[in-house]
Amino acid sequence: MVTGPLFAVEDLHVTFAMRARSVEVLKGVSFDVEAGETVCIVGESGSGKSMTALAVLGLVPSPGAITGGRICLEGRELSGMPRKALRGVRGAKISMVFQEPMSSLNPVLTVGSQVAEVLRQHEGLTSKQAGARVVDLFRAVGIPAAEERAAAYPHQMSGGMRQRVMIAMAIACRPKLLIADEPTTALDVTVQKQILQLLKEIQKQSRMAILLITHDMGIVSEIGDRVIVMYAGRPVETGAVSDVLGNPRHPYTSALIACAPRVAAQDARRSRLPEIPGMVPPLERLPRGCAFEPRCPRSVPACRDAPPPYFGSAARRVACWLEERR
Amino acid sequence: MLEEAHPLLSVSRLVVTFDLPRKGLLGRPTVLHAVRDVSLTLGSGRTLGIVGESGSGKSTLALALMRLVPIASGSVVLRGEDLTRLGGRALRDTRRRIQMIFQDPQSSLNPRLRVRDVIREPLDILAIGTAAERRRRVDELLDAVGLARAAGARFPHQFSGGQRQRIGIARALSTRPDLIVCDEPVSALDVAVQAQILNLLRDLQETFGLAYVFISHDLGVVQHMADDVAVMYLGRIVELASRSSFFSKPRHPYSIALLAAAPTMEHRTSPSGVPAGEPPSPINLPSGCAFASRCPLAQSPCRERAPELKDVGTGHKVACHLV
Repeated sequence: MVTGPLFAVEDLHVTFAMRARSVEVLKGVSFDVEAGETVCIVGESGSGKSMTALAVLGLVPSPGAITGGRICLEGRELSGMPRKALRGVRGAKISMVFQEPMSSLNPVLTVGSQVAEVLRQHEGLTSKQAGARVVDLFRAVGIPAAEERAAAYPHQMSGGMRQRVMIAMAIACRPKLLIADEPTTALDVTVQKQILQLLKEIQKQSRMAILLITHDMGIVSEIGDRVIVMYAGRPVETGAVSDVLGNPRHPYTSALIACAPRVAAQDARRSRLPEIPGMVPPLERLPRGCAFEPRCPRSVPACRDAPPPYFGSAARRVACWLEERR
Repeated sequence: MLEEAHPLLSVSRLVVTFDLPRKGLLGRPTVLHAVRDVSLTLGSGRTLGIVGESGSGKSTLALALMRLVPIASGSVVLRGEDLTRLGGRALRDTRRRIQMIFQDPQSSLNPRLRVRDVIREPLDILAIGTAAERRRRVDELLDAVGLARAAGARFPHQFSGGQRQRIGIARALSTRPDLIVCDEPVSALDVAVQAQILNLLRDLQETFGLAYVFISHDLGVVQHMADDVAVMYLGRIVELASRSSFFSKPRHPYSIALLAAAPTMEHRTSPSGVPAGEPPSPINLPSGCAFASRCPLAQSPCRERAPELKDVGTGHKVACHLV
């Protein structure tokens, strides 16, 4: 029997080696995901959230490479696994849904045949068996007239329907872990809500773990169980969603929550939004101390000297020097 | 919602259609109805938020206000002048009063022009001021949007998304407009940068007395920015109200659904209130209410005739048979 978490990432480092210099884009990312759980990674562009997803799948683009750490699924280490073996895991045990379904579907093949291909590859089904399963899958993800739609091409479907096709493809082999990178960012709000609910339903039935990458704290609050807030290639705060959103401890987390205007039934006073000054620093020119220090409203001299270690317990970790004195 | 005697902008029964190519030699010509019978007014220094999903016609409405798409019928009156009837010189003179900011500052700034030339271009085209005056104006505008004057010598690609949006805003301000049409101005930006740009837009509104038509799919952003709110669905305005009236008591079932779907920090997702399905095609319009196919409350009259936008009290207008 496997003990420990379903999926674990330990001290993951990814580095891009350019001719003159190398840039570390992930600087020690650790987290785990249990079966049936939804973990969200949230951050701005450049925080490393999408790179984390790609690294987990062994898809770091060249000239980048994993330069340290371990990635384990059900106790088996994926990092360093031969390419062919990894391909067997990808699609069967771990699958992925991307932001823009139009660019991840092949425009000249019907959507049904693309989902069927996954089943033939990983489960060894015949074309006929696969075709029947595709129709079942399309029904499961709420595509109306599933049989007819299987014969449609991607451009004949709406964005929401295309994303449902992607989800059908992703769950075709009943994966243990689904990685969803901004799965609803390109969709309208009502369709977004439908897709998030669909993911929740699938999870409830199959105990699939979900690693969801998003920039939207609202989505984290809607479907996340735990959240990892990333900044400049490193998690700065992790914990249960209700704790982190209800009582953020890292100044960056607080700022991220405060700066997005939210709908409120009581009419909002038109006050200015709190700002985070400046922007995420380029990774090759990070400050010596805490990467957030130049933008942080609460920085103290100690923040400039060295990057903060993690404080707190495994259930709630915060990388901030202010925690030292709590 | 306040009705003014002489609003800055008054749009009346605006219709925009697009002719689509025939399917085959003998196919019938098809027409896409992008904006259908839209009427609205906007006072000086105020913000009208326009909300809707893709295909609702909100971006086409923005382009129609700028007269950047052909208008089938209706009028767009800015300071007493009907833009749909103007041409040539007169249109150009009126156009300086209305400018636009786009969603993606990457694709709306000419990559081959230096920032100062991007900002100065409207002044050159409209022949406003002498060369020296235009140069001074560019410096003023860079100051106004919070960019260093040295930024003028660089190219758009050398800036981040937020800074590029500042360049787009400076360009829009160059002609001293009364009205800026903002089409999803912060949708492509990270939340932290989004807050900076929203604050900037509010500051500029106060300083220059600008009016905004503010188009966004994000209801939180609209509530933060708008004085009045219009909700569009399949080319029509289905609800039009003051911000406080709209957010405290939305009336149209579609508005209620939109608000239910907006992610909030306060509660977890509840399966209720999200409409099933997606909007119908703007090519084959349904005969009744466009929302009837998704509406949880729809009854038979809803499928037969389209509801008019009517006042349900204190200027709150709704197009629904059931309200």
